[in-house]
Amino acid sequence: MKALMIGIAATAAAMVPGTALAQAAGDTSTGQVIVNGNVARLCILGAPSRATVDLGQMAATSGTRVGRIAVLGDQSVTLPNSFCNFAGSALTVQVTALVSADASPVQPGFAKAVNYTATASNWALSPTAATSAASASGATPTATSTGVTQPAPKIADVNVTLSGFTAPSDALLTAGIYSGLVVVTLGPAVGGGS
Amino acid sequence: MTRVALLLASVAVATAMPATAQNRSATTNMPVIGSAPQICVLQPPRLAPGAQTNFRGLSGETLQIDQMVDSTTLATNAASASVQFDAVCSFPHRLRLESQNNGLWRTSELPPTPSAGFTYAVPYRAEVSWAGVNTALDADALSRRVAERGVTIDRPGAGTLELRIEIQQGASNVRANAPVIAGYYGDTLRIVLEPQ
Amino acid sequence: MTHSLILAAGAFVALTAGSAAAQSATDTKSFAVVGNVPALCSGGTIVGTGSTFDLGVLIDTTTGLLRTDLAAPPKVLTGSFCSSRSTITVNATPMAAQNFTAAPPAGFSRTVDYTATASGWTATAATFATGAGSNPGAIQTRPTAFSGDINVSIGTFATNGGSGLRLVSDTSYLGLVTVTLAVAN
Repeated sequence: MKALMIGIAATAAAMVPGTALAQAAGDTSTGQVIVNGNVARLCILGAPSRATVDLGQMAATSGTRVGRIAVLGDQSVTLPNSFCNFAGSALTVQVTALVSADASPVQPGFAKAVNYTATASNWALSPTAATSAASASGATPTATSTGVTQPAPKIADVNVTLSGFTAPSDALLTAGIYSGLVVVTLGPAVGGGS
Repeated sequence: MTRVALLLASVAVATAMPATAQNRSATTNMPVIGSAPQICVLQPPRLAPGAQTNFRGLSGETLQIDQMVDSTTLATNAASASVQFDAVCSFPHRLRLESQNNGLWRTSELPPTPSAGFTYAVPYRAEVSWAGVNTALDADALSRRVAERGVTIDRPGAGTLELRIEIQQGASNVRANAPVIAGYYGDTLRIVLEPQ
Repeated sequence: MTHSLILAAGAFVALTAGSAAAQSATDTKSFAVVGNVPALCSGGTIVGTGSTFDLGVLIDTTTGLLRTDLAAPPKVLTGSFCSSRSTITVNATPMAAQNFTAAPPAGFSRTVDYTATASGWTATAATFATGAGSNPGAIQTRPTAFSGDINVSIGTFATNGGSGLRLVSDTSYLGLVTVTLAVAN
């Protein structure tokens, strides 16, 4: 064993050019270990403060606007403690209009979709807003918008506000259960952001 | 890339608010109105089927007696006839029978100087049957005047009004069987259906 | 000679972040937005003519019988709608004398029958005849939500009991037509 080790050491010493040979016959010898670490770029969005936003009954049931969309107040959802550990991130908001599950064709004068605006704020200098533009029959329900670039790493509560609920052409709304979706994405700004 | 989509449609159904009952149906009321005014209509008369005695018939509105007096005694001959009118009164009403002369009187303008023992006016009886009510007017010919008889009918009536004229044998305003003075004799009988 | 073990010489310990699958440069979160619209019906309004069908004098004054030319202009319910499948029901009560309420005497009637029709809502118009024993066509179904005008008309007038009967005199003969829109399941 002993002999073997000496042999390895000797071999190792011989394989390393320069350093060991340069320190021949001294009482001090210095070795070197290089330590390297790498932290990847990371964004995390906090879990939404509400899994579902329920607007309740959306149509007026009396008065001159009976059957049409009622005045619906703004709704807020927070994604707390969201962060990106690198410079140059941006928020993207994808909003999908509320569309009725009823598959029958929409009659003239009626709509089966409710459009609205989703605005994500408190990240970059200005908020990111996307407004859905579904037709009365529920076609093209989704719209996407990417915001300006946040130049520095950041930790913040991202606030999403839902507002501006309207029916296409302010038509009468068909009866039924309506559902839509808001998707928030946080990631590297593409080409410096918009 | 991690994506966590939370679509909880079942939660949405549980929280959906039910519609209030008053919105689930809507009723519109539309009244339909009209009126039926009070009317009485008497159609022109016609001779009733069946026997008539000593009358030539109905010509227009005139009942013509055939032989008014017996050719030997000049006493009045019996005569009778029935006339029908189609009539309707759509409301409770009154039937009035009106004799212009109160008997058959001579149609000449000058009143006759009564000659003792002669008949100069002939009495008769007019009977009316209408809407289940019977009434009669006795034109007694004792004086020349309008004679009238009325009866109330407390319900609407529709159908046939029957009028029967009857002249007794020997009828006279003086004495039974007294001879009748020569001349044209007549009376106008009016049947009126009117409001009470 | 000091033997220094340069154990590290040929090997570099690379301190990297943990497994790449759990974290990345982009994160996405989403939430649902839901709402509901109740099934409801609104009857609309009659513009201009009022809601009453006024037939005026019902009889021929020379005979006392029901006029054969009775007519009233139809009415339009404007702005009616149902947000779901619905039924339309028309109902009518005969025109009856309001003051002469006793049984009429022979030869008379105190009631006028007619037919009410509501069209424009369903493929087959809803009709109700007041003199009929049953009116299965009085209810019609519209399978989809709908918004539109409903045309309501009355006609086919007949003296109840027979056309030879006269109408008892009364200044007020009254009947009622109702049109109902209701959500259907």
